[in-house]
Amino acid sequence: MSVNEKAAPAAGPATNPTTATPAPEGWEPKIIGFACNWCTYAGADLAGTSRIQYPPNIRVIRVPCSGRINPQFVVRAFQRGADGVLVAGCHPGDCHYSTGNYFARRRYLLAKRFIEYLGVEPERLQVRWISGSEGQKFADTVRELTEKLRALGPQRRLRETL
Amino acid sequence: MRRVGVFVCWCGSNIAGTVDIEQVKAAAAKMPNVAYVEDNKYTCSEPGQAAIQKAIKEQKLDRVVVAACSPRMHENTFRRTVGGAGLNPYLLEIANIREHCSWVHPDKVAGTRKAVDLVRRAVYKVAKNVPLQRASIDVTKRALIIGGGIAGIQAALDIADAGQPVVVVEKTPSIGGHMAQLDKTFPTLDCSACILTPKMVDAAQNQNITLMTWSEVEKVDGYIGNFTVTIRKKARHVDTTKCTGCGICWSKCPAKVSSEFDLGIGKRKAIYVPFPQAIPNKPVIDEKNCIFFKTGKCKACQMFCPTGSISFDQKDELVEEKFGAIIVATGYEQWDPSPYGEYGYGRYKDVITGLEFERLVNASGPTEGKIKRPSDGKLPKDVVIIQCVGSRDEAKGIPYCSKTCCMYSAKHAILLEEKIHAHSYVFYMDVRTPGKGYEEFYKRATEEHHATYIRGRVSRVYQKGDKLVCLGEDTLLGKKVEVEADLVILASAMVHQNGASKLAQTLGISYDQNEFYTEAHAKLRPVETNTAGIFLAGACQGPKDIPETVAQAGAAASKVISLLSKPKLETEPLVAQVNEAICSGCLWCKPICPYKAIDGKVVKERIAGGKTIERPVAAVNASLCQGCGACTVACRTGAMNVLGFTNEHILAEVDALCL
Amino acid sequence: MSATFTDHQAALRDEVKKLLTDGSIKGFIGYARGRDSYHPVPAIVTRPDQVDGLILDQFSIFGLTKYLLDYIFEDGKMGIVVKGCDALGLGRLINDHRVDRNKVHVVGLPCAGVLNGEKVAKLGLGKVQRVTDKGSAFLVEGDKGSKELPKTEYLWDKCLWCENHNPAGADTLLGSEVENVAMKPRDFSDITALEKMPSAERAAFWTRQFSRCIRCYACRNVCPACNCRECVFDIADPRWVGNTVKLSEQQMFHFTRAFHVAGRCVDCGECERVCPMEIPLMKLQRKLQKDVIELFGNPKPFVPSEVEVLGQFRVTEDPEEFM
Repeated sequence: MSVNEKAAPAAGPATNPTTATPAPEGWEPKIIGFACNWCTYAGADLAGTSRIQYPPNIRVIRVPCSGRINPQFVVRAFQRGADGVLVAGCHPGDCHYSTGNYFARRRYLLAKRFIEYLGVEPERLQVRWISGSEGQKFADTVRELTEKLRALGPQRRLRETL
Repeated sequence: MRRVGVFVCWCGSNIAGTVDIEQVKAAAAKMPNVAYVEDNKYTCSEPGQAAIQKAIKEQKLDRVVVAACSPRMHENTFRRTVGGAGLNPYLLEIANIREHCSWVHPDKVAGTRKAVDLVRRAVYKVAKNVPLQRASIDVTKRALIIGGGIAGIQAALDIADAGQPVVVVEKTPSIGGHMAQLDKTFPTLDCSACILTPKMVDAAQNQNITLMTWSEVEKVDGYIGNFTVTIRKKARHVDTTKCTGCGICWSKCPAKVSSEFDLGIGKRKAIYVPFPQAIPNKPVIDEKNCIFFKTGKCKACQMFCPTGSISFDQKDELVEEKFGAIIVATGYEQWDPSPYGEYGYGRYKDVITGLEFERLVNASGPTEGKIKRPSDGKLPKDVVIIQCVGSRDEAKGIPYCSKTCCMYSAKHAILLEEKIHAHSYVFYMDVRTPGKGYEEFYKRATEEHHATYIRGRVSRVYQKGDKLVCLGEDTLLGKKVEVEADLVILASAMVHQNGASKLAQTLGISYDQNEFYTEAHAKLRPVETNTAGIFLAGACQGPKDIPETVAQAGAAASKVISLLSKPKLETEPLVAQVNEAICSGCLWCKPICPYKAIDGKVVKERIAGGKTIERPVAAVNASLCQGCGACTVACRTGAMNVLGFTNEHILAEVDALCL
Repeated sequence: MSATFTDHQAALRDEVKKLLTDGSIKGFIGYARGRDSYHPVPAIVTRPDQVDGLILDQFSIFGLTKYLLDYIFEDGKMGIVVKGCDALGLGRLINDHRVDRNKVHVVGLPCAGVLNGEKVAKLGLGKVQRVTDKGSAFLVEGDKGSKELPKTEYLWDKCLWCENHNPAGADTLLGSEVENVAMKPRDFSDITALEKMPSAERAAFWTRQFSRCIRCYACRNVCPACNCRECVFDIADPRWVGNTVKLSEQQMFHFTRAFHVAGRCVDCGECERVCPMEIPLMKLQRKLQKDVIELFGNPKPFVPSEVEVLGQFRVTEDPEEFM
């Protein structure tokens, strides 16, 4: 092993939690979306009013601002069985509260790398700026994420098991 | 156990066409806390709302979930519905099964499954909802305006006209601002003083307006509706209650200094009013130049003053006043073009700025409106006007467009031709005339007044005899241009007022990289700042011409009027809240808040053993907080929460959706 | 050749005696002899006659600053001895408004590196009689033998890249300041190696680590950045992290703790040192340090500053990868 790993006292579970066990029949990825009220949630609404279709795999939680989205919520979603998470807010400069998304940007620059570092595939957490006028971008983002997750299979790395 | 009622809306066929309503109802009925489920063709219709109210009463519901369209559409509608039935309006959640579901997922099986999930999310969330109350705070019915230029004057007049008292604090001896320095105004060429001075007089005579000139804002405490402001009244050395403005003092004063108002082109005395129409028309003594203050001898003004108004021992005075709202209208400064060494500003007397030209052409200016060039007093025949001096130049000046220069340069060309038949050569980068009558005005300059517009920059200005040779390039023709001019006018940029950032810090408002104040939203809240109760008017927010400034001042005034006319301010309850029991008082939440709504406070409590201790905790000012929740993430303990979007809520929603 | 910690022991005792006697402090947090001469333990003395129980030796690694939290509501000052690394921890507690600097008398201990007692104990030198600084090595003389121990091998890892040999802002400094140079540059190669692994391998690595966790909270208890009045892991409602012993909860725990300390870690390494299950916890913190340095251009994120790394932003300079 190339990394200076401290020896485990006893052999830990040797199983690799992300080794692809085949996805169950009819499995569809589950995506939790966190969307700020003013931009991304409005963008998702616009996708609706414009009847832009996208895969039904995402469920959106509305929050006031991307600055409200605690990275712990993201890990919680993975733990509870989400296969992918979308964190989305206003474009830089457009924040309804002027600076919330700048703090979100710092937090997720770190958190995204850190979650990957813990062994979650990078594709599973997407952070995107989607404005209230970008219904199409919202739909495209969900489609792209869903397709990537279908290819990756179920998320087992952080998932709660019995 | 809660008693949650779930109301599933068909929205005609908008939802029912692609979501199996019966399945959603059946699933909802099995969710925890759900006591009642009903569907309606149109829940937002009157019968639909009545059905909710009926069910709340008959089924004794204590929480409501409406599965319908986006909460951005009807959340407020249904809050009123729920409130009308006697439930707290905040015991409601919306499941968005239209925009986020039926309209985008044509597959009925998958769409119905998602709709059930979305309802479950709302059911789990609503169970954690608690009744919230709007709080009300008192409002001091009085406005403060910082800056007595046209923006401040207009805002003051508008607010006073609505019957509300207003105080204007102006740092110079007179109100009037830059507009008082201008000669004519584009695009109509009416004289600036003719339209400004009546407003100045109105402001002075209005019972609701108090002018505090020669004064500055020192300190601002408090929040919307309740600001406490400390104002420094600088020592004037003239008792304004006795002074009649007769002018004997300044005619007798032996100390001559260059006039700030005339930008150094004219002189004033050490005791002075900045300009003849000044308001108040009462002088101030400039301590730095007064012979008595410098040498201890003179007092000529005091000797000759017929009313005994002069007092040399007056001191600065600090007064504390209360206000409900503040308008910042501190304006701009003209950029000093010295960094452009090639134009020779400061080296050649006949290279002047646009604002200096205004004083030169102004009938009440130092030359009485005769456009005598500074070096020898000759009337210029050929004039070069250089645009974008400082503007749009990141290397030497500032990156933005100063917006007014194209128009005032065209005005200068017209005035020069009209008054003394001088010919203008205008070097420009682009001519920007977006404004009513502006393009026509520019056309007039070129067509009727024969100004020569040359697209290109001047690379060098040098003296040759009594001429200033301007070397440049006509980039449209691609050839070198050389103009021998008698006078060169630099259309110098508009930049932030001196000390703009310091005042911003005093007020707790934000400013951009150019030190212009930042509006709360570039498009939708252009006159508000992020600090509730503080508004912006005029060029302190960015370069503006007079019509725009007046419009913004009126807008800011109307915001203030509506704020001050409320008997009490109602605050939105969806704001941050601190759980003091677990707050560590680290205050890392504080720098996150864009509204400066968080501060520290000390709580006293008894600990085991009966001792009373003091410890710091965070405190949220609910009237400043806008409920963004960015602070909550900085709180490791979770002591900081946003009502309506608490950690408990969001964790429950995640859990509900992952089931 | 700097003085060793032991050389300052007498001065420390004198100082503490004086402070206790004249009433300027009500207690002092220092070290006492532990189970052997390689493992000094924290000790708190409140009376002058207890002071001779205080020791200082080259194995005094334990960061003591967290003990100050036990005294924040008591009257009077506490004294404490701090090395450079501990001073950063103290800075963290002060910047977090948890400890009032005016209520602490800081005795600073200039430090040329602390010997890793775990490693040295295994050499069989017996009871330590004397430790001498030989420049690049410490000469350890025990009753069963002596050995010159190269610093690069026998100091704690963090001492090798330490740039804070002298505690800043001490009220009393023991001896004089030592030369303040790192023995080697801060090295993130182990982090880079982990980053380069495929996700699945990295996942397996961390699974092996976290599955050992017994949730004893030693890491939290020793960490100067984990100083909340009420820890999130002890709060029942909402329960952010379950407290049953299962892998997903341990992962959640370690993610949460690491992220709560992100940008606030002072790099003291105590979490990893005290972990009874030998989980390489600093590989979490140092990953975050590395990213903070790379992303936000903050060269020393482990030095407590006026504004937290995550409590600020730069509009244009912060990387943009979420468009």
